[in-house]
Amino acid sequence: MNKVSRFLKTFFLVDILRGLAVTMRFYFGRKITIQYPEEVQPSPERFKGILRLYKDENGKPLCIACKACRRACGTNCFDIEGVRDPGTRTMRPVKYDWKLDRCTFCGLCVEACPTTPKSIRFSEEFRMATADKSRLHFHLEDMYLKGKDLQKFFQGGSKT
Amino acid sequence: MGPQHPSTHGVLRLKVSVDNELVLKIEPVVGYLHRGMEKLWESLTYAQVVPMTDRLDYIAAVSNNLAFVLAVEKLMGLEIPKRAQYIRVILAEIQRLASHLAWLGFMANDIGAISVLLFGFEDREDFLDILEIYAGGRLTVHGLRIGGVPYDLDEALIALIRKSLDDLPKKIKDIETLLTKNRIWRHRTEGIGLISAAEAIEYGLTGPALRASGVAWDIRKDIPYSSYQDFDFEVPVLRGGDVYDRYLVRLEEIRQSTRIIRQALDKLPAGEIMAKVPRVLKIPAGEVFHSIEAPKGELGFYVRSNGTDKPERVKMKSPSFINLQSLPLMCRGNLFSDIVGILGSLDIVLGEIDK
Repeated sequence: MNKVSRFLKTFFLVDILRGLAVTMRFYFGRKITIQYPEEVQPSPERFKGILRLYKDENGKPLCIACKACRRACGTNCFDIEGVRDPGTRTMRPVKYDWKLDRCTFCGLCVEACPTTPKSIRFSEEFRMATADKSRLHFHLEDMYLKGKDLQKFFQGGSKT
Repeated sequence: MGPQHPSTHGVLRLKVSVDNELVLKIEPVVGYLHRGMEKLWESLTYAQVVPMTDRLDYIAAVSNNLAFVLAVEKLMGLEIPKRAQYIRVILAEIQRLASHLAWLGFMANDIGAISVLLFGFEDREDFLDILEIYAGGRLTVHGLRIGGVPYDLDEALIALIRKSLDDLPKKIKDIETLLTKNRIWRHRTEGIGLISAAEAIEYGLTGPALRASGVAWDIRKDIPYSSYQDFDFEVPVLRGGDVYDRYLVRLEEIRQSTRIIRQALDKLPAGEIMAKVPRVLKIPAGEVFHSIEAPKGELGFYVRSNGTDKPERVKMKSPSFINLQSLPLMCRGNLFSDIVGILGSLDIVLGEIDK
């Protein structure tokens, strides 16, 4: 009996048909493809997009030029210089160079940042393509660019 | 074959001597992806090395993190909070699922079953999403820190992990329907790439490939680390030693991993997620070796410290590199077209071989 059933199974290609049934179910099943760029998948809260500097609600930069991010960085992305603001006695960055091409998106700089809320954070921006290599090097003003302005910067728009 | 060949999983060159279709001799040439990682680490602090280890076995980043972090913590004599240990286990097992599913896709694709590649990658995406929600990275996760884990698991994420685990058995069953009894698959895998238990031990084979040859050796069970002794799971062992058995062992490992994650989620203790670690990490002088059971096999780190904040020497025992050594033995006497399947069954990652 066992032999007969095995012969029948082999003869009628049961194993192959079973496999084809699975493939057909996927063919008529729910589609999981996302039509980028019309649809964009929402990014999770801790998504590691491009690093950006942030300002507080009054429009003042949060960065205090303590260089903790530079010390934490394993790939030497940062070059920072700060001066003491004579009025408020706090340090402010005058030079904040960051190299996107060296960045490994490990997040050590964000963890090291001592300000609250953190001055340097990952944004949700994942589009970082550019045809000009010099656009991978950011200066202080470029570090605040976001959205369309950032894309303009990547595409070689006026360097602010 | 190679270095630019779609079935070598990267840039691996194989010097193959053949007699018509029969393989006489095979000689792997490695080093095309050499980035000088071990030397580079000597110029980085311990905390900075952790994200670099993501780039070794890029299919299973958390496992690399875990091996290095445990080695450093062993050297420091640091006690890790129980909750952090459990979260580590959960992350490492999710990474094992992702790695095995990716392997399943690659391997089936090498042999010619392209739909399995698509299914396997779709299933793996669930687990990469979990890692992305947890730490922000899909592939290079940087999910662990020296002293614990960076983030806590919240209810929403735990619910998502449970849901993914519940969906998995059905998806695995689909893949099994496509492969396990399929006559083409069996013809291409059964009795191919044979290696006996004695030879496997002699060649230092580890991981699922060793267990498919009939040696019950799993570091999670035999030398438990990071609280693996708290969980009840089985180590699948088969005796065939061929490609088909390696496939079955990995499928069973996927099931056992889901068991471990479920238990860890159920028993997840409350408490801290980070031990007390100074901001500038100075490790006492000394040397240490610690190995874990990575998805590919035994992954070990040797770390020597001279008391500063940077390691004096880090040496890595990577499972892919050592498993690749037994490829010539497995291929001997097989057909040329089987090389691809045997290579696939070893589950190598070139980032780990060349470092």
